[in-house]
Amino acid sequence: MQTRNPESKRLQGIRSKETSLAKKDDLLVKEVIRGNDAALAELIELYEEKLFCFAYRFLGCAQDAEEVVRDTFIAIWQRASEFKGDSSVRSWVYGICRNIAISKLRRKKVTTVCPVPDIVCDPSPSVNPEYQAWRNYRANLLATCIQQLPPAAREALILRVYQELAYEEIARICTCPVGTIRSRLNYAMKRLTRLVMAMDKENNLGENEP
Amino acid sequence: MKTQHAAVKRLLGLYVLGELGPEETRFVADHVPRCLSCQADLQNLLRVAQELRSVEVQVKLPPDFRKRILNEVGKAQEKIRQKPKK
Repeated sequence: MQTRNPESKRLQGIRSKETSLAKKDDLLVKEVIRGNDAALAELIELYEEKLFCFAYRFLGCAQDAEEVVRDTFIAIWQRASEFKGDSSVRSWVYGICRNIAISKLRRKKVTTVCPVPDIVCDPSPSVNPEYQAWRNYRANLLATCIQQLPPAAREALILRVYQELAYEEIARICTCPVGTIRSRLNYAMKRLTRLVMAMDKENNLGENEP
Repeated sequence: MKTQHAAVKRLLGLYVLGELGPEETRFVADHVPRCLSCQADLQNLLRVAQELRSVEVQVKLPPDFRKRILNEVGKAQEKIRQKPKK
């Protein structure tokens, strides 16, 4: 019998955790179909932050992101019985959220980023103020440039880099082949680099840390 | 060489994100030291890819977010439940 190395043990741990979370999600959706509002509240608790982060980065506006999350959970409640288990609950939930965010983008023509300082926080508040200010400046600059990416490239970048979802799952959410997601991610990275460089040139500022 | 160059150019964005498999990674790594144009592109891409991770900020939920969502979802449920069934 082969001895498993620590990495494969760790991956197995992650997979088994994901499996048990997926089972919990399935049970919650079944309960939502039965009209159990407590199950819906639990789904909200499980997904609110992930969906808000996705919608906020995608739309660049906290208020719009909050409306998208609200509409996503209303849609989940209304359409729970349509969930057939062909994908994971997570993919289904993200898919609904993504479609609502895209509709909002089309309706409102949101093109500018409006970061809200009190919801964006530095995970390491002990850093010195000058460095902190520089980080915030660069973070805002990146967010502004991400907003300028075409929506398809933007969602691929956010779902892969920030939400850390697998290609297969992103492909299910965006209803396109895995190869398309890879192409979009590659394009997003190249376009983002050009945008950041152009903005640095325009501001006559380098990316050098203080 | 030209074909290889074009193929590498198409992979550089994924390369800097560490998204390529071992074979594609080797393919890019073999070509770049011999190509000034790809070296320049790679340098810029790497800088932005590193920055994407190093200056990443957490997006925190606004205050009372869940309370508002539960409240709004509850209101919508009420409205839908009150609608006469066809």
